[in-house]
Amino acid sequence: MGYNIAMISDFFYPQLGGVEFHMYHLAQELIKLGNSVIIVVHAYSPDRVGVRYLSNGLKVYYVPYFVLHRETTFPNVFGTFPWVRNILIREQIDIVHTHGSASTFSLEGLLCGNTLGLKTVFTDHSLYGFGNITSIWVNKLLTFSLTNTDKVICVSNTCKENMIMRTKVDPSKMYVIPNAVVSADFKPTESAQDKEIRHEREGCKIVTINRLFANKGADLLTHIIPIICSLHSDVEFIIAGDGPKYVDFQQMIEKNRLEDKVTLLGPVPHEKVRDVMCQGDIYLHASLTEAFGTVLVEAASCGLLIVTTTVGGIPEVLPSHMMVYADDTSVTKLVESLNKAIKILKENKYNGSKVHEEIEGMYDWSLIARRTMNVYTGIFENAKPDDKNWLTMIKKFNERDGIWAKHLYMLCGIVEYLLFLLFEILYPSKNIELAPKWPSKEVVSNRISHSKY
Amino acid sequence: MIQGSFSNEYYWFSRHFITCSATIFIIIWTFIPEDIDILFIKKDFIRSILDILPDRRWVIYFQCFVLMGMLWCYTALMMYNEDVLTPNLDDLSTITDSRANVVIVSDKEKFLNEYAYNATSGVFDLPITDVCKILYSDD
Repeated sequence: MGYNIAMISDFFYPQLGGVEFHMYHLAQELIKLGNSVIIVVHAYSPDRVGVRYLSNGLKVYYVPYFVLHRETTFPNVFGTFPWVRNILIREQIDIVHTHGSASTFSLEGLLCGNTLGLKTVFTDHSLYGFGNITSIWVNKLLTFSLTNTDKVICVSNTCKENMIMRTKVDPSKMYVIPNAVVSADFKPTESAQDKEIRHEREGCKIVTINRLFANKGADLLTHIIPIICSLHSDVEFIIAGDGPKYVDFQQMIEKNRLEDKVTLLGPVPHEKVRDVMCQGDIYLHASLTEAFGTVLVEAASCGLLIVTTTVGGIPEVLPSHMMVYADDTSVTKLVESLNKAIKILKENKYNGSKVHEEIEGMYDWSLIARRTMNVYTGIFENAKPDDKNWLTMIKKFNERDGIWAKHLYMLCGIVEYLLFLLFEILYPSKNIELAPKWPSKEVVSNRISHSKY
Repeated sequence: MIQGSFSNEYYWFSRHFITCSATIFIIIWTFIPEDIDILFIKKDFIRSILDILPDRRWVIYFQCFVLMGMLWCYTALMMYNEDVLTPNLDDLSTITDSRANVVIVSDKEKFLNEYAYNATSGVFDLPITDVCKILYSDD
């Protein structure tokens, strides 16, 4: 019972981030539900390359591949086909599930999976614009890759709408399944002493954890912090994260002489994020674009009051009593809502530990995995027998997009099929050795009790 | 909503228009025959136009160059991945690496219950010897 699932993306451990943890936790929960899951990513420098087994028998292929920019591999449509085919056949995969629209591996993995006649699912984790050449290219590539993909999962409703606008995928193929957090790892400070200290302490601390990029609102932050510091003498800031805007923060601190009020922590590993969050009372999120915002759930789970902009999928993430919204991504509005939040905290109206329990019930990976399983079963229920027929797929390419694009799509499709035939002759699939699957616990326990092991 | 300036629309339309015309022009320039009349276009006219333009072997050469460049990219990429980025089979990095949190537990039961058959919230590598025992050992 259960499916053989391959998750393909460019982003995985040792890199840290939303997509990486989504894949890891989803894979672990899917294994618990009786599936066999492998993950395929590119090799990470300096030396994480080859096959690794993670806990629960999760197999990860780190494929050596030329990395172009920000951990994304060189996009070239056909380059990944030879070894993706090999892995998919070796692992007897039923479903190819790929993550992240800016990832070459994921988009080429979809094409490859379709060519081999496997079921394909795609999860999108980000929002894109339409107005510059990069997003146009990504959108075209995505339109091409999603033409024959069976199901598309988006992390929020905003992300889904954005996706429909960008690629004109049939909405009936789309699902919204959010991220989750391991709420046990994000507990608020528990000891009674901690709480008393928090009550006695006059001021409050504001935390923000972000990669310091322009799209994460770094410029807004550098303007907000001096204003808030001049308004309230008892407010302190903790800023964690690294990025191109780090220097701006250093300059802001020096210019306004805020050395004793603002702490710059630099990059913080994921397991330390909770400790940083628990030092504060308010979480400030000034992002300009966000598909989901897992960090908000993590912060709320730690018992922090959240001040955030209302961009993208953020309003869907948490109920409004946990957040203070700024209606506009402007300095004045954010300062206003920060003042409101500080007032709420000073009047002691916010109960962080209660929020933690609420979130425990709201976001849970096993629930996410069950919903994903429903999507998988849905593929097999809705499948037509000729879905993965090459001719049908070419016909579908012909119905997509503009006159130039669709001919290019068809051409790429046909070349991929020719490549498939070529590799069938050069390296027949019957010669590929099948990999043994992770045996069930009973089998291994029996073996131990009956043998010397 | 549509009150702002139309400069984006103009910009992208002109871009689309220029790219399309350039593509069509290059296709015609590459393929048009020199020595027959095409409907009402006389061959002398075609010849004189081609005379004005640079030698059309250049455009054909350029297309071949791009095509071969693509082919070179694919082969070079495959070779680079395989010969430069792939470590040798006897290299230690095929087994473990500097970023791995390898689980080292001496008690077999504990290893099986807590790591080999349990989802951990941190990312842990199972040691290759234990993996091999679980996958391949027969009783």
